[in-house]
Amino acid sequence: MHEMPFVFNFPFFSIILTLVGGMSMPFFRNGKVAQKINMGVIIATGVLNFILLCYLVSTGESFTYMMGHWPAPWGNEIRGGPFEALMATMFCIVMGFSVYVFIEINTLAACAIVMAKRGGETIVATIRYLIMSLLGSGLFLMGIALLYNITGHLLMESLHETIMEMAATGQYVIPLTVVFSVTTLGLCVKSALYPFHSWLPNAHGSATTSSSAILSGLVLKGYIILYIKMMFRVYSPELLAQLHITDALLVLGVLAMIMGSLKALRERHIKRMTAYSSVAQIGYIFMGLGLNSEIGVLAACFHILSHGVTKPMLFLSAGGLANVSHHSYEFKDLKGAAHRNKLAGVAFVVGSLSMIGIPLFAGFPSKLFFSTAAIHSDYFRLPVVLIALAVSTALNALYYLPVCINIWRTKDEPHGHGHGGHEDEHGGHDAHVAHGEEAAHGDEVHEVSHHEPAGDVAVAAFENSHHEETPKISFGFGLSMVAFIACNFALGIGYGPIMNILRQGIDLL
Amino acid sequence: MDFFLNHFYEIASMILFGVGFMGLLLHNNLIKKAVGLNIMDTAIYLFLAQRGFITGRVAPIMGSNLEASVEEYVNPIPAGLVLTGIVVSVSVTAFFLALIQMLHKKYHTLNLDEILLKAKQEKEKKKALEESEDA
Repeated sequence: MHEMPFVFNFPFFSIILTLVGGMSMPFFRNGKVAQKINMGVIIATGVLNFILLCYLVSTGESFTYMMGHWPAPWGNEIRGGPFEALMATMFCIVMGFSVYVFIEINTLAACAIVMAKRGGETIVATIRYLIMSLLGSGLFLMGIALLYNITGHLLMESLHETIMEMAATGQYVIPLTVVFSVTTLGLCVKSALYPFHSWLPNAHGSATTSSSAILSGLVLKGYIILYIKMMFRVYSPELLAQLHITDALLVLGVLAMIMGSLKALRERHIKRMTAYSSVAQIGYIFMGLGLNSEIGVLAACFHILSHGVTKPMLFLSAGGLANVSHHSYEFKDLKGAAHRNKLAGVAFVVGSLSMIGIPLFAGFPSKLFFSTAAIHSDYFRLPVVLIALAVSTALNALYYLPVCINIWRTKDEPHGHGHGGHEDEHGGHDAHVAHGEEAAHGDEVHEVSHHEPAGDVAVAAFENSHHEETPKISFGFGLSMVAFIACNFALGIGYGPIMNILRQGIDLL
Repeated sequence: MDFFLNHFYEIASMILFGVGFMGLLLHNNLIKKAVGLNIMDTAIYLFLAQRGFITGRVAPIMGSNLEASVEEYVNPIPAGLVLTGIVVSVSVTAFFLALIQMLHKKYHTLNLDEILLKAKQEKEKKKALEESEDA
């Protein structure tokens, strides 16, 4: 390990950088300085991980980094591969932009209003989140303790070896089943899989815009990535299938896809609706894992990425729309909001179309891969997954498109004053006409907004002078939205290379 | 019977884990939830600490006996895990209690159901107020 390439140090640098950055935050009295340092740390980590990703993809290897040059049983190890590097890079990008928007929105003084308005509710939501999260970690920790008890190891490599040995000789079948179920259950609770999702919409409904974006896009995914790593590196997919854990995941995933969408359909609050949509999307990911084939896992990983760039965009644009509608997230107040903040409106439409799975958007390839995975699976799973995909897609369209139409509706239109049910019925019908138009429109604005920074200030000043209630679209918000839309198209069109990286990463896990 | 006597700690920690878990999940009183959390965590630590120790061996610290072999020591990792866990659960408990205190100041009760009810009523009242203002 003496002639180790320098890039292998990067994961360690990232950890130390974020650790030091986080710990130094309370010492800055001036919030702006702290925010700048925070952005700096995120950008630096993102760049480091991107370089590492490029290096690992070009050489096609994974590595094990020993902390302090202590080998495995004594020292701690960091393991890096294309899969880990790709996820880290994506997380940094999303995190960076979400935080960037937060800074801007914060300076627009929305945050204080939101906090003051919803004090009690926020605390209740936090407590519920805390309790569920603690239950999840308790179960997971118990699983780890039992696993240590059976195998005598805590490192993934040695755990895997011992478990495979035990599975081969048929020892400890019941304890292993218990351990697998308990850790799986713990991580499912933490990642808000369907029956354990109750805390999620409440946490989102009362959180600030950026915290929703990060919570939905990244925090939940962290646990899923941990689960994928455990699936491959500690257990093995075959063993999980043998113990019927993957079947349980498939059933829960399918339930989540349908129940999450149905609950979203009933919501009249844009953030809670998007949160229920997250429940459904988490269901997609677990369904992919439950298919128990390589392509199913790949589809799940791709969905983590595509949902990770789409959902923060939806939350941020919803926040942007609410900012120009008296800080209200109710559908009736958001009517025509897109005309007051065009960029947020376009971003919301792009996000919705991506969630529904229209070609060219990030959601399409992941649905394509899920269907492919379903076709490759056995005769029992095939119809279940395909039907669930079809139903869930239709439901997605049913709850996203009415919102899109609602936010682009002009105020003086005579019909539809607060008639929620009425809009729903027409949603499916209008959909076909609307989405073609709006996709084209989205492209157009997307092109234009590249030149925006120069014209931005002038436009904003113009708007400000005309309507008092319209806050300007800030540079940060504009940049983030354009970046998220660009990421969405990049994933939707250029999914080939990303799939290759993911495949390489999963093979090396 | 021997089984129960030999595995006294494991059985105790499993029972405690169950008690704590159900307490955290089902109790309506927030303070009792916090207590349940601590019982659950402590059960895991008891389990780890017990399984991590082998009678007759000592902690892996190099003392006067420099010739000692690995066989005389216990693995320090479970103990390290327990210590880390204690730190985490202390900070989580502190955060939990701070939130409970804030809720108690606002709603003057510790019952989660009552708090949810009051929050809902408050919301409805606010909505009614807004609507009357609109009108």
